[in-house]
Amino acid sequence: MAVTEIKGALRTVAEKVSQFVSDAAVLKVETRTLEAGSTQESVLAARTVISLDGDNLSEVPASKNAEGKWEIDTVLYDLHMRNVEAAIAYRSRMMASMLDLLGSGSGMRTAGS
Amino acid sequence: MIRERELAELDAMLDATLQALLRRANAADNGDGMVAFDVGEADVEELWWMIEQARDPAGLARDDEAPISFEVGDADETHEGRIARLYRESAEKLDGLLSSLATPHVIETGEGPAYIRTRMGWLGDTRTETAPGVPASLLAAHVATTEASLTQSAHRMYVLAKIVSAAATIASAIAAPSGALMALPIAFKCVRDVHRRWSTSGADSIG
Repeated sequence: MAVTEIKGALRTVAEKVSQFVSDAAVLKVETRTLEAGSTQESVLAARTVISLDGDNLSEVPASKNAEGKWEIDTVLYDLHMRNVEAAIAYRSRMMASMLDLLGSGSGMRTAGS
Repeated sequence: MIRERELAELDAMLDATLQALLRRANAADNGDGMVAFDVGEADVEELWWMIEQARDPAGLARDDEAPISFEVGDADETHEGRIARLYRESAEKLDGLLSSLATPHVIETGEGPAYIRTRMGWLGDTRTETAPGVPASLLAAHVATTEASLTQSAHRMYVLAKIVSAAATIASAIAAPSGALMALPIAFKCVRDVHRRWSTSGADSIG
């Protein structure tokens, strides 16, 4: 029974690695506003999309003031940027672990052999 | 929060253990007899004993009286029973690690008009919903919780990668057709034992 479970776990690991490789090209972070008690869909306030090919997209929360000039909502912007930094750090660590997994099939039998 | 320096220490401890096992395997293959482990841990002797059983499964039945201890309180357990238990534990732990990665993390802070919710996928994609005008202190608390959750999730993936990576090394020490499957539970024990030693310095626990 345990051998079957381990085979299943190994297969799932392989599937996870495969999914990561195919999906890791883009990192998306969204910050949305939601009125308390409202049943309506939350509204997009900020969005950052980072692509491995170097294309980045950032949408920041801003509104026009009484003078018609754009002002960034600093509270939402700070929250969003903290989330972006945390997501990048997380993705970086995940990438390192994935590389460890992908490389584990090549480093065999080295100690004194 | 686990620092990179601490993970480097864990990497070094794990690498030393695996290298010691490989040296013993090489010595056994070359007929050099016993080679002392220089990492000085009883854990390594236990791991080597398990690798020996995997290299020669028939020896399990012949050598059921060999002195070995896996856990406190299991003195009456047979060697086969201990290995079966290790298989079961490693399968459960791997399943738990994979399940935690497959399930999106949801962090909720506050309530009513002061409410923030973040949903994170295992790839790091993040969606945060917040009510307008949430106090800065609540935002700071939410961000800190989110960062801690991401760190924990990344550490789970790190542990999983270390187990699979160690299994590849141990499979090469076993060098038998069934080596890959036999190696995984031994690698699980190896990473768990090393992780326990490492975490006594106050770092996170496995999983």
